[in-house]
Amino acid sequence: MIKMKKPIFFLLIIVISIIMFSACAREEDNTITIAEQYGLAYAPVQIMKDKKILEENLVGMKIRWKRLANTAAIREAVLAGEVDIGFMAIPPFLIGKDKGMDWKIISGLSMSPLGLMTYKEDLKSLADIGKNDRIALPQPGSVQHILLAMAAKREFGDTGRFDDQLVTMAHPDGMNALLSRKEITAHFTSPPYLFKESEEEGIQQIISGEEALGGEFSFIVGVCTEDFYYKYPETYKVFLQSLGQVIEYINQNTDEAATILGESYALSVTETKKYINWPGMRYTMEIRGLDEFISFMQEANYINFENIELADILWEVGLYEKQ
Amino acid sequence: MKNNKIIQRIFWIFLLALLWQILFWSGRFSTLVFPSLLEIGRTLIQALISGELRQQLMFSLSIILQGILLSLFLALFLSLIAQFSRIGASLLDTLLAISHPLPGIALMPLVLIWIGIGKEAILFIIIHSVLWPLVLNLRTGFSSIPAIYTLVGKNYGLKNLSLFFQIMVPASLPYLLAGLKIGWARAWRALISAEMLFGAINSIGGLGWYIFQKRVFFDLPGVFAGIILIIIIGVLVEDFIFSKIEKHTVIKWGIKL
Amino acid sequence: MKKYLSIENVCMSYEGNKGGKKVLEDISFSVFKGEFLALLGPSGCGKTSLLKIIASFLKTERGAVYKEGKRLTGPGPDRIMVFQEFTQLFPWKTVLDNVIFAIRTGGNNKDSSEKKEIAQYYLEKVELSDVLDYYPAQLSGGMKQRAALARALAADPEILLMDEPFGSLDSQTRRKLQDLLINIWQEDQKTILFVTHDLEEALILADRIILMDKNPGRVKRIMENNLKRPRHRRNVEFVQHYETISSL
Repeated sequence: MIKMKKPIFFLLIIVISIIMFSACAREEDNTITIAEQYGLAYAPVQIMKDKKILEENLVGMKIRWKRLANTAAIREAVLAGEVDIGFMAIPPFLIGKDKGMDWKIISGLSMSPLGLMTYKEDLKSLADIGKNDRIALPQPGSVQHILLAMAAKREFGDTGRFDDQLVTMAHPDGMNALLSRKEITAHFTSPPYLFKESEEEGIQQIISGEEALGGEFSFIVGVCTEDFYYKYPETYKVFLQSLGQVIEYINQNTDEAATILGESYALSVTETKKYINWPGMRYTMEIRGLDEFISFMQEANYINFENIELADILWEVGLYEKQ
Repeated sequence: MKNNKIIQRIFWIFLLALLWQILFWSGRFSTLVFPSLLEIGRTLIQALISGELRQQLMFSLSIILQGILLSLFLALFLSLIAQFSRIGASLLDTLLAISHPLPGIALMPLVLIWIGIGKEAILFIIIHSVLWPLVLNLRTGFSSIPAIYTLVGKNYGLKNLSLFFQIMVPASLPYLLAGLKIGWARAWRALISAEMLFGAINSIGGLGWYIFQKRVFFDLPGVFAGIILIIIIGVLVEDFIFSKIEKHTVIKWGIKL
Repeated sequence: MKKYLSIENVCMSYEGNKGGKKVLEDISFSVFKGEFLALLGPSGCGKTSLLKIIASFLKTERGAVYKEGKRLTGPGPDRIMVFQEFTQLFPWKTVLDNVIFAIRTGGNNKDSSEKKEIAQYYLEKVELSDVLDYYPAQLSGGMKQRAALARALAADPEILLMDEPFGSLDSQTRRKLQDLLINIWQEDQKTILFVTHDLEEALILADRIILMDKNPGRVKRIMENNLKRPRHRRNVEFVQHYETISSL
């Protein structure tokens, strides 16, 4: 056993170092990290970044922009303390909250059309979807999945009706598959893919996001951790302000905005303009649909909140308008 | 000697588990990042009992088994041809040089286009992971066989095909097993990754899919439970199953590499 | 005795660095059916190569080997070789299975229990009945060579080609095996070609001795060995013969 003392000793040193080191690794003062994703729904964030609005308004603060692949990655990055502010749909936020993440919604970002698209002529409603029809969506737990489940619940009383037919595909892959009529028959997607698909011949929409939820809802919201909120209250305020600034800017100067965005999105300015102005596409700080999401996901056991209040979910309760 | 190895293993695992638990107790990290062993254990056992994890596990194991068997046949067939045809040999060696360095996952985008999604795509990736180490080792094995075996074989009247199956294949068993070990390791890893990407045609998509589901639903103890199971299977196969096979073949025969 | 095996003008070279080394030059002799013939010579005289040519493992440059008038072109179970290496047994088969392997060649369909019996018979002959289910890795050197002998016999070859099979064994084991070989030969009357560099061994075993020399490998002398069997190493006549030949 004497021989064992040495390795045990070393292991203890390692443990202690890990504990101590991790303490300093994260304390990079005066830097906030914002996670961004690709898509029209995140346009205000893109503009905020391109026009360096935050950098202007925040003196003495370093802003780091991180592009992450998907919402799950953002969630994990926030958990690891790598990201302070992220943008995502409401369901993934709720799932994280339910599993113990200390974060809340800062503000709405955009409302957007979402839809289930298909190339099959005879699929006119959810009831027409057969057992062999495969539906592509970004991943289980995504807003697309939840919306589909909500619709299934409403029409058939069965939340999981389509679960066995779901195929995980990133938006671009899903679009390719749908347009080449391969592997899948339907694709639940969001802009710009939604727009591109609907402009194609022979592609039609089975159901829209609004129809699935039963009303308007926020597609993307901004969230941040309690850690961040309490540590950098001033920064938080400035961020909120800047966000409002940018959203106003987009709504008032769509042409200019389209030019800036077109560059970042590798779309032509005309296309970008068309998409920004698409009916249903709205950039606003208002938050909608929260109740519907919460009550559905609670019922369907995706989340299990006990006595949750609005103040537990929102920093700015005033931004939420109950329908 | 063998028992010593097992005891050592258990000791280190125990120590590492203790380390983990200490980190958990230190409160330094959020319990989401470092769930307690209890939490992980509970999730693992629950998932196993409920059958959910068991189903996924069986799916993964059955697919990898199919893949390995298919690869074995294919490898034997290809090396048979290469043994008796010089053109075949040069073609095979070139294919080998191109394909062997490619990790199965790198092929994923192409596989998606050629084969689509689903079980066939996963099988393809597994076969790709296992086939090339097998072929490589078989070829090495054949050229390393002591010449005396083939001489004896010919002496007693064996020709070509019978020489191949009765002498060359058993004589290269040490190399074949070494190739299988490597192939298994590569396939197991590729399988889990492939399942993460391809899963959910049904909700049974294997262990990789299970972990992916847990991830998107933010069930970190579930993720850990899945990872632990992957490790357990890996260790079981590599340390126990292969050892057992070796013990009853190449070790008994005195020709272990 | 009729001419059974005829080696005629056999020549062979290896491609060496200095443009080819002549291994065998113009080897010619005959072998009679049922005789025990020794190929005796120093190492490097090509005797192993010669044996392999007779087995058709190697090709000749010039000249050929004929059996009963027909030219030999490829290896076959009519001429089974027993090698010096212990590794000649298949390690993945048991002793019994190694011998059974030899029986399956030969074209007649014997069922497995028959084959097993035959194999056991030969293994008994070489006194290995106790280790039928052992693997070669578990046997001593002497046992391995005995098993190899049993396997060779089980194929029922017309000619046994033996390439210093006892060379790697200690002298005691070697003697035992030499005696065993003589007994078996006397029972079955097979034609045996035995390569050795040990004069004593040649004198004990062979009816005729082909004395070979090296650089290049060639036949120096062919001698009759008329010593009466059973032969004893301390026997006066034996020792005389030994002295005579060693001076050559």
